[in-house]
Amino acid sequence: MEQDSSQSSESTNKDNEAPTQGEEIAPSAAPRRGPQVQLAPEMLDQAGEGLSVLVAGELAMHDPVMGVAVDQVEVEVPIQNLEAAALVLRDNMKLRFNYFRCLATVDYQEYLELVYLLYSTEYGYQIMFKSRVPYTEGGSSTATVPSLRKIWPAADWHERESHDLFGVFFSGHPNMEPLLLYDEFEGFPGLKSFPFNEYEDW
Amino acid sequence: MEPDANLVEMMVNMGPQHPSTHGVFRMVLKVDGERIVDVEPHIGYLHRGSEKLSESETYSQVVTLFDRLDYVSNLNNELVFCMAVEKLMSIDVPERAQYMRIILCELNRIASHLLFYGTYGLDAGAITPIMYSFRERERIQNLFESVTGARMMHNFIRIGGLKEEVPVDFTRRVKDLIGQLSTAIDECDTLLSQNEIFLSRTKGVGVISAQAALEIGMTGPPLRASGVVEDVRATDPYQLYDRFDFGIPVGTNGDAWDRYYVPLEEMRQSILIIEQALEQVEAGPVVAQLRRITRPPKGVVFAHAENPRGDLGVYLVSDGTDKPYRVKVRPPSFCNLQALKPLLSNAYLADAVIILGSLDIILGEVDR
Repeated sequence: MEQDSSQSSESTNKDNEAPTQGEEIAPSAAPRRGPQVQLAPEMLDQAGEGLSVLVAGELAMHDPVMGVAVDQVEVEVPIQNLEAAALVLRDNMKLRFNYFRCLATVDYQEYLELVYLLYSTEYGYQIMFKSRVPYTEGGSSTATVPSLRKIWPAADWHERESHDLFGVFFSGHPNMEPLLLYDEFEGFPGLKSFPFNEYEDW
Repeated sequence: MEPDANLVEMMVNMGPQHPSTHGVFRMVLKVDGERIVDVEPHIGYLHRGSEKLSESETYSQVVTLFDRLDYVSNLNNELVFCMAVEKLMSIDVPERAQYMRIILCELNRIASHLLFYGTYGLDAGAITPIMYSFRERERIQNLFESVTGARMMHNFIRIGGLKEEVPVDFTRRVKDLIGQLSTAIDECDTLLSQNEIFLSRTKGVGVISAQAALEIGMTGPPLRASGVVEDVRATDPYQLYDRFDFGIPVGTNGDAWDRYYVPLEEMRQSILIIEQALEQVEAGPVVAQLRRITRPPKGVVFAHAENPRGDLGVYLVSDGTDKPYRVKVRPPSFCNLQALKPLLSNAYLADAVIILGSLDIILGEVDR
């Protein structure tokens, strides 16, 4: 018996990449190494769909692109419409996104994406308000992003952090001093291109 | 800038090593006599690049990095990251695991608030409160140690549930513990809350209106102290929080005393939640059946939960591999610390410590 079991375990080890073994776990195993990747589920509830329609209507002038992130509504606007669209989101009586939760900057290698996570305390709406900024090879941003600090004062430190780690320059922000990093630090460690492992000056 | 002949301003440096900052935080105060004119907070002394580091770790390893954000409420941090991954992968967490998570997180909330209570007493010049609060906190830490094997940095909440089943005597021990805690909280309350000196140090000091608090992005107990009823557990319920009956304590004045008293009252509500959870919890599995390697589908997700210090959020970007593409943490302490500038301007220099302490910041989370 013992021999048998050891043999079988050996054979499974050897046959690990054989098609017979692969077929067994094929349905879920196939996409993980192949080029096609599973996409996140979209589970927007009725209120979320209502909000999506509402935001698309109210922002119609600013070329919004609507999307869904699992259970939240996302809306993307061109960078030149960012400020105007933000004002609509805050001041529109049907939306009232009065609470600035967070600014997430994501480096997608070809461009940077700014994600403003907004919340409406009045209606309980949550939204991901996005915009794309191109950046040059050197890591410094070319496009200037308008600061939303005047619209949501809470954006102050979040923008400084984004400038610190990703090199996004926010025009109209009174203080772009480093926040998390020290003054002499060079480079933008948030970027995917930052030589993370080779960096030795610490 | 032209110097004003009538104004004699002085710069006072506080920190980065200062007992009242509860960590490494520096602020440069510009004072005119006894009044603070302006303040420039300097953070980042504890910046470890947790977000960047997460990009080179697997999903299950990132949980340990979250332990180290707000290092006095570790379990709450772990929960948020696990919730984000579970949301992205549509994992149904077993009910028993969710109840246990709630019990552990609420206990952790009490432990964290007890730490705040004790250290805030110290900030105000009262030495005794911390003796009482740390005695009680120690009981919670002992329970955590027997459940998770560690006093801090538990790594107990895992993607899909818990690491393992809790010990057999867990329910009995929690029941004993909350009995002791509710007497201890009343004891703490009588010890400090109505103390004449404490009242005169905190009442009417560092007032912020509800409108201003929302604008500057405050969250958690400091926001509720200004009278805003905003608690993720109630407004956007996660796990099984919609099954419990509990109150959200809010303040009326938005001063330092309210910011001190809201957490104290919250501990009582946490005990109510734990009691209900212990009644409702049933036997069952504590972890969902998952693949050994976590590979969420491609996409973005935002999950948030009410931490002791406020609304901790995670914006997670997955590219379909076994490592996250981007992890962005929305730290509540960071957001609360932004309110320091409006709170301190025109305050007395002697109140700087009291006001900073009332925001209850943890620098591990501010700097990440």
